[in-house]
Amino acid sequence: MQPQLTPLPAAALHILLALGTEERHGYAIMREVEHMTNGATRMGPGTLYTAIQKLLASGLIEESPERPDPILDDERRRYYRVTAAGREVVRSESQRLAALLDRARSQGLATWTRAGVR
Amino acid sequence: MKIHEAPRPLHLRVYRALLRVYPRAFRDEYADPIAQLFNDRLRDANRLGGRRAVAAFWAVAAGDLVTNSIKVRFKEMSNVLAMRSTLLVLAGLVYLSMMLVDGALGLLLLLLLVGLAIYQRKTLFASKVSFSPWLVIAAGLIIMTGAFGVLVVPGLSGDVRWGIAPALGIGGLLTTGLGLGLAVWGYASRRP
Repeated sequence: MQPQLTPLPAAALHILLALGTEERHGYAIMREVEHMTNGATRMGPGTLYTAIQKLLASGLIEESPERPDPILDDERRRYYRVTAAGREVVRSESQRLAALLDRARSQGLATWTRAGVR
Repeated sequence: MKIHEAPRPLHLRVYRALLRVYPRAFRDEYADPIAQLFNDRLRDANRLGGRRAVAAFWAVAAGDLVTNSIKVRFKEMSNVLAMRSTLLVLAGLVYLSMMLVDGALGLLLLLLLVGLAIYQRKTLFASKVSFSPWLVIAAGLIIMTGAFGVLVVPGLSGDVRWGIAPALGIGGLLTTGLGLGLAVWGYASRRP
């Protein structure tokens, strides 16, 4: 069943996209979010883990037993990955955002550039 | 390359102490990873920008701590408070209907109250919520004020039924005592 979670809060969508198809711990998620938004989005530690708590409760992500980061590995680190439900929510949220963007473009309010949307 | 640079125990100790602003349930689950993440970010700030970057990072972390802890506490409070408020109102109705109106209606409401309390027992008796005793104490004081009101305001009493005021007074006193007991129990069972 499709969970009623759209529209997703921005922090939740960023985390889901940062996880993508990999297992990551909190620090790696935070760095990936900064990387994919060119530093525009910086989540504090508390904000990140509050969003993670909600995503876990919603079943969109889960803790992973895999520990794929040999550099920063530490047995206390928790790794997370996106679930099938999480992927489905990302897909539907992306479609929703794409439709909004199409609408904005059709009204001349947004144009694509190499750097993104203006 | 050695990734784990010199730890910054003082910063971490201070930040860990500040994490107490979060509710205990959240802290039990996430204080360690949050502190670890803080340490990672602090290490980055120190490596990339020295003291100024560390100060800037502290400002961001402190802001995050304040805003996010308020959100988490508000969420927790709204969940539990909603349920406890419902039960408290229902308890008040039971009490008043038994005293003033009709014993049968009071009994029906009492059964409803007990059923709801059993159904929601996990939320209702969540020992990790530390503010609830004050709600109970407040309710007790309100009930006692009601008793005082019944005695001194003629308009409320009409044909004065003197049985009501002492009953309300005793009920209020018991409720306040229960709240105080819960507060003491919550304090005593707090983890060091």
